[in-house]
Amino acid sequence: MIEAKNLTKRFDNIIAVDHINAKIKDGYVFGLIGTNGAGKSTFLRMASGVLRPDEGSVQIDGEDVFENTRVKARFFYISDDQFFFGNASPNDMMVYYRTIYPMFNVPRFYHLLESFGLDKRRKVSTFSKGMKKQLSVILGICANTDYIFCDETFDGLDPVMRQAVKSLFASDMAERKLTPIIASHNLRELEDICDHVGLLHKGGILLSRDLDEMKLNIHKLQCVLKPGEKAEDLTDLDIIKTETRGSLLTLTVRGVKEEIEAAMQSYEPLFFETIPLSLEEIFISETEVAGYDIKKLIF
Amino acid sequence: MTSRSLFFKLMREDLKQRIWAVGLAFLMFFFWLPVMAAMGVSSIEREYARWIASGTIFENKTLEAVRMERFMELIENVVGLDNVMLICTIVCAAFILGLTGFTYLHSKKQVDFYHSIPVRREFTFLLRYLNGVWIVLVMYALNLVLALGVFAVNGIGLSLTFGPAMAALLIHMSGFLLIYGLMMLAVLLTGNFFVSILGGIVLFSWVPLVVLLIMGLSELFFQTIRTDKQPAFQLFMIHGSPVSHYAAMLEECSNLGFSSCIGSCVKPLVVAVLFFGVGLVLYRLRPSEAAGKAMAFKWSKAPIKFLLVVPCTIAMGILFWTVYYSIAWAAFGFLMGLFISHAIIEIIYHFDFRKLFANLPQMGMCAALSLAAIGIFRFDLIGFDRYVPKEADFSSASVSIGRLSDWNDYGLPVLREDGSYSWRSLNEFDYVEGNMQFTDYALVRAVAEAGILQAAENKEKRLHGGDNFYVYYTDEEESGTYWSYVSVGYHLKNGKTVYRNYSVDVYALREEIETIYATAEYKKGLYPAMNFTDDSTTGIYSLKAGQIAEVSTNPDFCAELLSAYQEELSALTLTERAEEKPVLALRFLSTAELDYLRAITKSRRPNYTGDFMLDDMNAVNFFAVYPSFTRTIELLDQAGIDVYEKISAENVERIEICSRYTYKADSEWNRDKEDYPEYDEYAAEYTTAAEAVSTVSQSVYRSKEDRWITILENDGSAAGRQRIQEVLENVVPGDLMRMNDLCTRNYGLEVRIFLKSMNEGRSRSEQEYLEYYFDSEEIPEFLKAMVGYEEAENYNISYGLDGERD
Repeated sequence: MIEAKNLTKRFDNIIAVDHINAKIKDGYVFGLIGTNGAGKSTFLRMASGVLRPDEGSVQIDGEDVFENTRVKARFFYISDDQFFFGNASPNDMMVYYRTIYPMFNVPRFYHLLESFGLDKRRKVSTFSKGMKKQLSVILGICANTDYIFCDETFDGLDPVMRQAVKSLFASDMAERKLTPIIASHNLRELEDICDHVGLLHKGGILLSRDLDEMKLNIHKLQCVLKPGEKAEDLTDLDIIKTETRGSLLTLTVRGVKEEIEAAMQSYEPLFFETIPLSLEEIFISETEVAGYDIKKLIF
Repeated sequence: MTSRSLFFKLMREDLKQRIWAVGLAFLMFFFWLPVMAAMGVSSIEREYARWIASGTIFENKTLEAVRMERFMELIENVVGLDNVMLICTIVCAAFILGLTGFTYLHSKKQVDFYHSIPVRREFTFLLRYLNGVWIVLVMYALNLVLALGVFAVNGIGLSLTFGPAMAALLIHMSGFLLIYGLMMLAVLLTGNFFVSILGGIVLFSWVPLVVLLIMGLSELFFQTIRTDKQPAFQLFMIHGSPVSHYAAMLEECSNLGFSSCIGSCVKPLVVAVLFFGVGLVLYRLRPSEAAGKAMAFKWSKAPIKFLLVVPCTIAMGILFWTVYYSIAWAAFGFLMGLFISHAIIEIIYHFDFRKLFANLPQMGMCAALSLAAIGIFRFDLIGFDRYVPKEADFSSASVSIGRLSDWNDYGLPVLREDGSYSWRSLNEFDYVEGNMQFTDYALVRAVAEAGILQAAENKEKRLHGGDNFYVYYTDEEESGTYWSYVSVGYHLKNGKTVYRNYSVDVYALREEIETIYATAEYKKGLYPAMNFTDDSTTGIYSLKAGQIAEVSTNPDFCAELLSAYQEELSALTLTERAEEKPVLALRFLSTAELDYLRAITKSRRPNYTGDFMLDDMNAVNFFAVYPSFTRTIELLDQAGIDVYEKISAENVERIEICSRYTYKADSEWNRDKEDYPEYDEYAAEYTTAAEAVSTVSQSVYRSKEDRWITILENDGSAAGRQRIQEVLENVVPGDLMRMNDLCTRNYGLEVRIFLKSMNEGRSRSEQEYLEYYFDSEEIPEFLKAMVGYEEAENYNISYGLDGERD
């Protein structure tokens, strides 16, 4: 298990990661979601031992990661812009990683290269961005580590390849309990793969929950109230966000579906229905609650 | 995971990434070692074949011996320390490998890669460092073996080549490690390639440049400093940069054997290990997020900025001040230096031109520090100029008083390890500083105190009037002063020697200087002749007007003459020197000098490109004989040398009197016909005039350089001879006159005496002359009229210590 305790990192006067506490259980896919500059990459760079935390620690099974080669041998870090040696081919990179990761699965590497249609002797520098991402994932999978840290790895992969990679992760999770930790700002990418989500915002962690649990605990409610009633009158509901279009109210409400519907019934609305939120909507709602007005950023 | 095998595997992988460096290093060493060796051997062999074919004969040497000599030179030029291209390769390789070996730290991508893998950072550092060294060492050693092989194939065995090759390898690798290590530190301290190069420039040049600045400030503000005698300056100038240290090491170890070189490499290797240690610590401490920033460590920014801005500010302030000696310009330069250097550094630190005015409080601190540093020098807050050791600390002193000098140069032969000789020149002041042990503290202190007062006065004059205060040397006759510099080396009881240079008025300090001159300690320290012994003297020679003659080689006579000379020189007083001009100079040839002369005569090969010229022996180690040296003169008379003997007009072909009123240097005077056609024209005119006048052979002409030349020709007429004789009666040899600064000297008219015996059969342009000057102002009236001599306008006369003045 990976555990961040009070993890903090500052870059000059900017607090990139601010006293984060999180636990990442083994055998599940952990999605690290956040806005640009939320601290996802910084968190992963600390988790992979690249950056030294200013405060707190990142531990894997109780051992600090920073400058601990034994612990670092248990994960493979794919950065958002992975480095490959100049003039190196996939084969050259495999030779290097094989030196570092003794459990590196060479036959599988060649097999996956073939499956993904990558030439093992072609220079990596001539690869497209997506091909480099594929190669990174293949190298990471074949390193046979317990954890794989992916920073925006799906960015640049076409939908087919994205599904292929997800399948690879799923297969390794099933076979050898691989734990992928995937950082992304693209929520749709993670929705169908992540078991657990950590939502980062302005360096702090807003929530860290199971995705299913999170989906069950926040809902969108569309309703038309009795004449003279307003959203503020619905005091039994934990309303996070209200949108009004004529008499139609769209409410984002915390709580389980049954409880929300029971409470709503008590107000005798003219019409109401509950709609499940997408992960993206949950993310936007939670960030807005935390004072992050996404519309202001966009418009 | 970080096992030994992993370490070597990673080294191999790293080398694969730096294969370009391996290839480049191989090529460079290949061309400068085995290829150069093969070409050199081939050239010598071809020359050897030509010698054989043409029947060339070398004096005292067989062809084979000469061939071997050439091979020995080639060995030094290829595998030894004289291979300049190899030195350049080493320096370039050190810079390039130091820079590129660790630049991955400037890339976020690469840092993420290398620091996320399960390899300790120390391992990564060590293997990167060692690979940089291996690339050079292995390629060098490999090609060295090839070069030695080339020599061996051509019959030059390892017994001759191994020593120089190993010595060079050791020295070059020591120099490489120094430069490589410091360049590596520059990269580790910075986060950007461009800033790394700037950092390298700073690290490699900061110490020498700051020492230069301190030397400049010292010379400007410390009146008594002798920058050539400040060991700290020399030390930091030579050893303050790895490149200069490497150059010094090469010079020091040149011609030394392998074993002697080992000692020279200890210090640089220790420093290289230190650089490695510091590099390792920096590598461990270096934050990964430093990639791409100007400086890797936040804490280093302010100190580095201070270390750069303060010297720049001081240098600019002083530079502008010395142009006009104006405070306003000094302030302008100071502020410009401060602002520009501070702004540039801030822009680099932030990679943002708008940060021009960032950290203004730090700029203020730099200004304050710069002012404080200038203040230390300006107001002599360390008491440099006021220094006089306490009597309790004083052991002895060397006292060089410029005006008491004989302006004599000394020298001695030095026997090399290989049995050959070199000549070590030693001027009078070096001799005094190395030999004088003057123990009278009160006298030294009296001179020092006068010098300190004068230094303070000169400093204020200089600070308020620039360099104009130097006029005192030219108007001393009018001001009633007689200036001399006095260089004192205080030998302290703790073994140190502290040097100070004073400017004192000999008139004002007449009593003290008279006393100093009268002491045996001073004379022994001033005149090497006072320390000569009978058994080391093999002959005595005299000098007068450039003519050297043997006095005697008889041991008994030499001993007697030496003894008499030493006794009379010891008794010579300042007052006597102020009144007397030397009548002769003597050289007491030592056994070592005789051996040296025999050696160079035997070799018949004066070393014109090396350490000495045969002429060196002619111009040095002569000591003045004064008229008051009656016993010496008597003995010289017994040896057949009349010190008062005048040249007879009968022996003179002509005399040329050269007026030196113009400021043209004498060296510019050249009687080449092409340059001075007027000379021939006037000569022709003179011939006609002489025929016309018939009684007096004389001609006055003016060269195109505005120099007046008067020729007195000995045409055999009584009038001509009389005038020449009149001149001869009143002249003294130039070389002897220059040996005593304390008596009256008149350099206004140079008298060139052309002897018949010297110039028989020579054309005018090839003729040689004896250089004489008129004794004081005893210039014949007819000559004054001819040359238009006016005493009032003659600035080339020095009245000495006691001479008459207006």
